[in-house]
Amino acid sequence: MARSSFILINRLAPGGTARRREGRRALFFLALLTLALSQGACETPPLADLSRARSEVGRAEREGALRYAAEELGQAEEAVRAAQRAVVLQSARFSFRRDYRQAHFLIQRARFYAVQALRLTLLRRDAAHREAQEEMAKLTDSLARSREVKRFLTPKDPSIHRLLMGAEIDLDVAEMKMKAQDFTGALQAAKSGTSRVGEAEQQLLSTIVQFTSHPDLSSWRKWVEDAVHKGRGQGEVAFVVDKLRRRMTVYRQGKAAQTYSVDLGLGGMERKLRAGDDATPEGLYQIQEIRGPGQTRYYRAFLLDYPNAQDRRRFEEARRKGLIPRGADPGGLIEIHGEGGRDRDWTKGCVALTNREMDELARMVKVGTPVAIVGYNPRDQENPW
Amino acid sequence: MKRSWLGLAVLALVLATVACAKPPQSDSDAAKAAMDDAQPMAEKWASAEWQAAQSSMSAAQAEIDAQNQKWFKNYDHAKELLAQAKADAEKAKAAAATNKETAKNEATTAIADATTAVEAAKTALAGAPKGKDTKADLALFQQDLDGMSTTLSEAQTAMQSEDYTTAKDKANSVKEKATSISDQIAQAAAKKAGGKK
Repeated sequence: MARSSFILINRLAPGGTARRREGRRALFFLALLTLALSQGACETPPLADLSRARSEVGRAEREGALRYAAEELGQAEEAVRAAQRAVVLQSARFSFRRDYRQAHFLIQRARFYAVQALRLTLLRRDAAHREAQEEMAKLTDSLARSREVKRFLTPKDPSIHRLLMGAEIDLDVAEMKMKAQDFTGALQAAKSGTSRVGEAEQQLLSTIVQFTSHPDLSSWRKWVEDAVHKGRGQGEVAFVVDKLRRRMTVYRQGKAAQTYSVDLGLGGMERKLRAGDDATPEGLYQIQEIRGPGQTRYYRAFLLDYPNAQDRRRFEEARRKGLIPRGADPGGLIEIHGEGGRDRDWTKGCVALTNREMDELARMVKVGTPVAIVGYNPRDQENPW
Repeated sequence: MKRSWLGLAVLALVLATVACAKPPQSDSDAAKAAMDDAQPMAEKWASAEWQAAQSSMSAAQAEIDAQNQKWFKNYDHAKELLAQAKADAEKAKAAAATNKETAKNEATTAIADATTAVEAAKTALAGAPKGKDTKADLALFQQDLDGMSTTLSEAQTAMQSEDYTTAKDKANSVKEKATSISDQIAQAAAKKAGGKK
């Protein structure tokens, strides 16, 4: 090899040192050119890198980047396409003219955006998942609370019922979307449900507020005080039924001794006017008759003296005003009875407790025990909810 | 000598023809039009097919770019790739239409089923035995069914905005709840009938 180079130099520069130097320079450039050509010819297209970039973009897509990181995914896809174009373009050139630097740059760019898209997708998807779960848990809680609220509703509160039913369906939809990995959809459905429950609670709250500042509040206060006073005077108990709270309080010696949850008439908070309106009356009554097991369909019953004189006056007034149909009467047979504890209003105007509670009450009650039934008991300072 | 000149002339002609080959503009336009046409629906309803079409189009574009850089241009392969891209775009569009139609049909069926279930529950409710003990339950069922009817209206609205998944989910939930009410009424009726014996 050295010998042949020497010969070549001698041929290029057959005489003189200067020519020899020139020959060496030419040989040097020739070697350099050969090296450059061989480098160019040896450069291979970055197909493996391109394929890796494609698979990274594919993974981001599969993980849901279209939904959670659409912009970054778009950038990555665009860069892959541009890289592909650059590779094809360079591959079509003469080998010594090929230059894949632009392709390499684009592939790096594609991989960068694909990784970004994947990272953001996983982050945002996890966040959406977590947020959806939290919102669903919140909705589940508020629906559980709304079941309590439902306890105080009657069929005469249709909009609240509709809202709560809508919220239950929203929770179902959210669960279906969670299963389908559509966390954004699940979150949206759960939020809709929470909003409905909130609206229902708001409506209910306004009803409560109406009762705490009701025009009859002074009458209710008087009936409660009269009943409690009467019971204390007799050294006996007095019952106060709070329709809003669905609660009966037993006052002993003027003090609240026990409370019981009660079921009311289907009319809920409405005040009884006539027979068949399924409403529980409001007034100051006394127990007229005590019926034990076998004497009533409802285990035990304490018959009240409804309608009293005031109820009859109200009934007549309503009839004069044409508020009640002709032939109607004020009704009767209003009792405190058993078979209750159903957590909803279902009677025709009576007050129902569980049979066990009726057993307890039977031991403290007697004919003449005062019973005040009021819309809202002002003596009870506890929050109605 | 004459022969050589003739050969050279033929060669020059061939070279000129090949070197002056034009990019397949009409094929490219057709493929792009097909892509534009497919995009709005395919992106949402047939994402896999849409991705394939995009890849084909990208490959075709790359081939055109490559040929543009050559001295001796040959767009035959580019034409094939453009034809493939156009076919893929049309396929994506067709798949999107099919998928969308399927989703729509499923949602429509779900709403119809839910409506039937609500109507059946209402009929069952109308014929349910009424008494002091059941009146409250029946009234609440009625309220629940009214709430379900409201949800079915919402499902119809979702249909109009082409949110078929939500429409279907809502309808399925309503159907389940309405069927549950019918079942409860049937059980109560059966219990009552059993009690009479």
